[in-house]
Amino acid sequence: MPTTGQHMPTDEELVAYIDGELSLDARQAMDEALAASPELCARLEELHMGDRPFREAFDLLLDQAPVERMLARLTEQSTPVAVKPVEGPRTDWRAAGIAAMILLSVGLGFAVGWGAKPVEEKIVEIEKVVQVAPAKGWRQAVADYQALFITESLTPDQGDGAALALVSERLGLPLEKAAADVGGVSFRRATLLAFNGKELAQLAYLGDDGVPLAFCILRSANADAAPAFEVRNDLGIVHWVENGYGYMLIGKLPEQRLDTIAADLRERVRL
Amino acid sequence: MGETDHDIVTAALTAELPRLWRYALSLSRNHHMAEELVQATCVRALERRDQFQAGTNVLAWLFTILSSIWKNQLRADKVRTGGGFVDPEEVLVVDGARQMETNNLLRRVLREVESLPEAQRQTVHLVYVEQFTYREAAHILDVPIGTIMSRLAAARTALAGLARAPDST
Repeated sequence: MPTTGQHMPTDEELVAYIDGELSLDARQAMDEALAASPELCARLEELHMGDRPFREAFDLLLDQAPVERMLARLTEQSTPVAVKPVEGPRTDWRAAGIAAMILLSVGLGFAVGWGAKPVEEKIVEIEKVVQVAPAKGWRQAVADYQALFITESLTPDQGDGAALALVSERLGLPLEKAAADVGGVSFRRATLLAFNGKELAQLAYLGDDGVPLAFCILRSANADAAPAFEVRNDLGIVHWVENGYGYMLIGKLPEQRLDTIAADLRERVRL
Repeated sequence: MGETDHDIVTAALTAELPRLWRYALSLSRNHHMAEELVQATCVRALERRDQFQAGTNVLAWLFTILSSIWKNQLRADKVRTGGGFVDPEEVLVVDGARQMETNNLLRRVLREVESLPEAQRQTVHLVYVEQFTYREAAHILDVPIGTIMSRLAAARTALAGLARAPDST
């Protein structure tokens, strides 16, 4: 029995003793208490009978995990059919994956060296993007895509009046004025993409110095926000929200130059 | 934020799907719900990956998310939809005749754990299966360490009782 003044250890303390969770002092005290009390030893033995090879038993279950299906659920975001109205967050996540996939597959067509890669590598890279892109938001998704552009991506001029008309109509925003030479960069083409279930307009420009730029627009429920600058994927981005639309201009140009071009574009798309 | 933190979360999610699923199965005792739980965990982890602090235990972070979703969301759904608990023997058991023959003891362990009340089962899983410390388990379940200790003591007492009467399982 413990000496007078010491409390009788509880089952909880005995279990912590078994599990190696007691401090050194408490452990020594427990050793002493056990040495003095056969009753306590019996209690300890009883709790030891609750030992099981828990880890080994549960390790058997690991092989049963439907890993392929769970991984597929991550990647299935790329098919619009898979988007079901479940919890809000999941919808956002899936849509972001879709956007990343759409943006990527469009961009991949232009990427130098892509065609030479084995199919397995491509799949791995696509999965990487699909898994990494969610939760980054549309600016990051576009940044991922824009990183694939090179001078040749926009040469020769791929301007298309029909594409511009389509994009303007879908966005409900006249973009003709923006589809022009703006601040030393010339308009090349318009492309309709989608992000988060929303149509996303992309106007591509090529600078005098061979630098590709993209001006992207989508409808936004956010409050108006003044132009702000940030860097993603080593690319400069000027983004703002105005009159129900989110805008971003992205390209590898100095902040000041991007600001100037963005200010010009901002005027040109004002309703 | 930092891309490194993002990569850690993404990599951990991909690598730990089996362990997350196993924990989800242990909680829900239902294969379909276990997958839903893992899926919801992935969604929330990716949404909140900016909140993950580099240098901390990413697996514990994922288990915290899963536990929270189970506690606040799916468990209630399960009750509401009347899903009920299926026969333990049909859930936490191992597929395949070969394994079943060679792992009778381990199968019995699974059944015994499954028979424990949920709070004890959950705690046993975290501490004895996943080997989290008491402190980590307390954090994951958002309970005091004393609660972890009392649940483990109760679980051990219950399992000791089963050990004396193995036929009852």
